[in-house]
Amino acid sequence: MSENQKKILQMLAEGKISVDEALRLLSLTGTDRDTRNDSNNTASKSTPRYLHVVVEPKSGAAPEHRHGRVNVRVPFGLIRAGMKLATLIPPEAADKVNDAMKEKGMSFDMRHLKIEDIEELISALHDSEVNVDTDDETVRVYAE
Amino acid sequence: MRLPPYLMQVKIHGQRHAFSIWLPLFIIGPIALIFLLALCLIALPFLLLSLLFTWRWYWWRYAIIGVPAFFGILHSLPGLKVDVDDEEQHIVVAFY
Repeated sequence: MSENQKKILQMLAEGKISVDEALRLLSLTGTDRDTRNDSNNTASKSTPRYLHVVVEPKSGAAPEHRHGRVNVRVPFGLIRAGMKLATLIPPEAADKVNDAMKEKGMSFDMRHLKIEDIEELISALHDSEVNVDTDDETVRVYAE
Repeated sequence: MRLPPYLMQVKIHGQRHAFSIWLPLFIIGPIALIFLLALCLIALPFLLLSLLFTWRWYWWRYAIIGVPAFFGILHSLPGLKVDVDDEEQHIVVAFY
């Protein structure tokens, strides 16, 4: 119990405030604490530092399809910094990338990719994890 | 303020050879920076001349964006770790 809540109960006991007023004040102190907890949780939640990409081969995979184990940890700061370099990609190269992605079924123009989109993607990654499970390997992409 | 990496670890474990090295970037970095600055000073007249002749092609825009972006990437490297392990060798490259 916080100091404020004790004071409110003391004032109620002394008859300085009514029960309704005490309840209202108590609810306010509770809301204040909850808000602070929420903001702390949001702050810690919304700041993932690393993107992990883990590829684990399966033991039962055919030898010709067996790849190595890969574990890559990329700081999100590096992704953000790399995004600034995206403006340096020549239009011809960007067109080739867009065409290649279109062939794979992704209609996407990399010239319109903005840093805000990446921020949104990063915050969305904090709550989710991508798992791809095939016969040969397991791929995990997650933020930490 | 983000600092550039101060250590780089390179570890290669193969079937025949194996080595692991820690590169003290906090020593190599300033030396490389001095060399880079000296190189820039030497190349400055040529850069200015080429800038005059190729002003219309806007390549200098790339330099204006590229140099800060390069340093941004350099300062974001700490924490990067690549670990690849297969049947023949195990390679680790990490920045601290």
